[in-house]
Amino acid sequence: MRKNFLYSSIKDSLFTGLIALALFGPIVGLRTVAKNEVLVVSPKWFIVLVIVIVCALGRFLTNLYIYNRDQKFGIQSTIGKSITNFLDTKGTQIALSAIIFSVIFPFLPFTDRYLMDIAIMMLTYIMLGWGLNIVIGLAGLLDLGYVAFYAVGAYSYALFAIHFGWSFWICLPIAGIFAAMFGVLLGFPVLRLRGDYLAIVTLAFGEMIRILLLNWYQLTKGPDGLTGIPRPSFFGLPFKSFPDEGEQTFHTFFGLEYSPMQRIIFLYYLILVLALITNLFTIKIRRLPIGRAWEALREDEIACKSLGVNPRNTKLTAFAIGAMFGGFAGSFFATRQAFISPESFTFIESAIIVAIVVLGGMGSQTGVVLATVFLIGLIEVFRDFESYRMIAFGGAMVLIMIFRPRGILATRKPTITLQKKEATK
Amino acid sequence: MTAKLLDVENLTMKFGGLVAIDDLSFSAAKDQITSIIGPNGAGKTTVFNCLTGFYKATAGSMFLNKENERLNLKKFSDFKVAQKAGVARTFQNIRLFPQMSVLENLMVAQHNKLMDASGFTILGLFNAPSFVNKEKEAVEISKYWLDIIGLTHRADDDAGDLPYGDQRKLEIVRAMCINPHLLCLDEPAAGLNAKESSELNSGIIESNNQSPKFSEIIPEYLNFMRKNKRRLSSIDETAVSYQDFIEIVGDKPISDYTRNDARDYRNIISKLPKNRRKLKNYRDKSINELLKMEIPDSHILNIETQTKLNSRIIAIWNFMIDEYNDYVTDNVFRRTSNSKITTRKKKKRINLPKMI
Repeated sequence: MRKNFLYSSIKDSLFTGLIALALFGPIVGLRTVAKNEVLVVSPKWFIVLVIVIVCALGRFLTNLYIYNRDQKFGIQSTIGKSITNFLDTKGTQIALSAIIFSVIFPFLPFTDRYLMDIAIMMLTYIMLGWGLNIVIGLAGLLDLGYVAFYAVGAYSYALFAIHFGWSFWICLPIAGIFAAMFGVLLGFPVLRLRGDYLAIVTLAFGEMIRILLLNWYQLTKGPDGLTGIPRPSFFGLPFKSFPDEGEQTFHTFFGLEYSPMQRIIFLYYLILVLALITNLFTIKIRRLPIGRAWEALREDEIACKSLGVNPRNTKLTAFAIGAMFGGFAGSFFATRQAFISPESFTFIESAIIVAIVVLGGMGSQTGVVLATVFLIGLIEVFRDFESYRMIAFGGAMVLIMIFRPRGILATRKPTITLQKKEATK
Repeated sequence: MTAKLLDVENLTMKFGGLVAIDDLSFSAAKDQITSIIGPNGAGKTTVFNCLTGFYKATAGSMFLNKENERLNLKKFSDFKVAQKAGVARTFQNIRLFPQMSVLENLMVAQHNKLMDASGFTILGLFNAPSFVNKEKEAVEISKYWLDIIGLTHRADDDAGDLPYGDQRKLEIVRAMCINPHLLCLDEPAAGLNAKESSELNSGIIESNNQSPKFSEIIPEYLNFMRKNKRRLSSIDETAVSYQDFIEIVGDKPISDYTRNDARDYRNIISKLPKNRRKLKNYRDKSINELLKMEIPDSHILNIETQTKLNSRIIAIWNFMIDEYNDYVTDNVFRRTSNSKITTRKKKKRINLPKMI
């Protein structure tokens, strides 16, 4: 049995090496080089040999330790189980310590401008992930055009702030309402669609918004983008190094030295609070009848109808609320960048947010955070390697799908429990 | 005499040129169980779909008589039939919310009530006392029903993890949670064995008697509309198999078959010949013995008779279906082995209703 297994895995890895040779031989091995204005083939068989050996050896090792059914503690199952157990038992502690860490993060000794920027970006993605989690994770509507609401929020914030001079705290809810309206606008035509078809239509919707922003020059300045978006103020106290005559700024009011970090820290806390509001709202609404109806709709729409649940209203609220949080995040994005253009709202953004939600484990709030840290963090770590960034991103996705096929955190907790059961457990 | 709860008159459902239900009229009395029975493709589920708003009937009328109003069910579209008229239904293939807990399944059923109490989510977000109380009440109702079907200890488990029989029960109880005036059970015993299905029946009837609050239930069984049999059976070209079916079961009102005894059934089983050619004699014999019992010829049976007969009906029906299947295997396949019909026949055989 044991011998047989070894034999078959050696055979399998040799076969893998053969495939690797067939693939990488022509691609890597035969390189054309321009020599004296003539293209010459310069073979690089050594690299090919290394690649083939790595592939075969890797296959052999995975056969031995991961796909090996004889082995009771295959790496795959142990890692998966230990992660699940750890997160299941320590879930609350982890969440709490993560929140505490994020609160004190700006004042940690090693924190610099670069880290703060990454943290702000991550929190924006986390907030978007939590917002999209309502639509995908709870209501089960695969929305590939979520960036459209992000864009609507950003542009409505920018336009209101530039043209009317309204402050951030007035524009923020307006941007949210606008985004929610667009959510309903998208929701109506797709009420009857599910799965792949819904994904295609929402994808098209995302592109439509982007193209609209690109071409409606009078309103959006098209590809030039909107500049001079007002920065947020600390409850009326702006962050400026040189205040105007008679104007109080943040540092003069609190009697501090001016530092550009003050504004960054404020932005950091702003997005932290917005993201936490999104999270708390989602946690709360999941336990309300509407949240339960979303999940029921995800599970079985026909059964929902037979129980008198209105599928139209339920879906539209999911779209609207999801879009609203996208809008909030969008207006934060606009105020942080002070410049927005349709460039920032391409399909890849939607794809990243969907990837975060799906890889995090549909419907899991903590999973979104973990997936964001993993994916965005990886992209940032590999920033120096330029073109290898996306390979790392893809590799991360593959790894998650191998070890946690249903997302990092796939367990779902019931929204309501009978007390009796909890006592006995 | 109890009042009529449901009046269906001249109900017709056409899918293009295909007539699924042709001019069907029946009524269901209050506090009673009415059954609709028929062979595969007879249109039973179509009747249900028309009643519960999933299909829009081509012609005819369906009236639901409440205490002091008469509702035209045709005027309500899909979910409003459940929401406004209080007509609940279950499905032939169970449609629970498998990844939600058992309790959550029942809470979703009370969605409209809770939605109103939560002030369209706004009051609920702030834990308004009126909403909290309403939610507690909903949990109490769910608990009441879980106690009846004996699933209280599994209330927090995923509904999809329950055994098949419990899922059936849960689906029925979930429909009960919307406090229906009319409960339509589409093949509630499909896939259950005789013990489970008799448990199910007694459970339904018990709950019907025990709880005055929910007494206005009419679970619908399979009530064979003989008048429409030919047309009904045309729904998916089962006319051929229907003829075969008549041949084996005999062309008599179904109430005749209910006049059997459990003992007779056991006798039949024990004496079941290996040789199928003798089957016809056994059938005739059992039908003759059935005639001993006094049962009204109508298709509406009251609860007591229903209880008494249900297990027998199911037993006999199953027996006959088994026999029919064997018959098809023995005769139809052999007969048609040279002709073109192969796959369709095979499929038909498997699809026959296993249980009432």
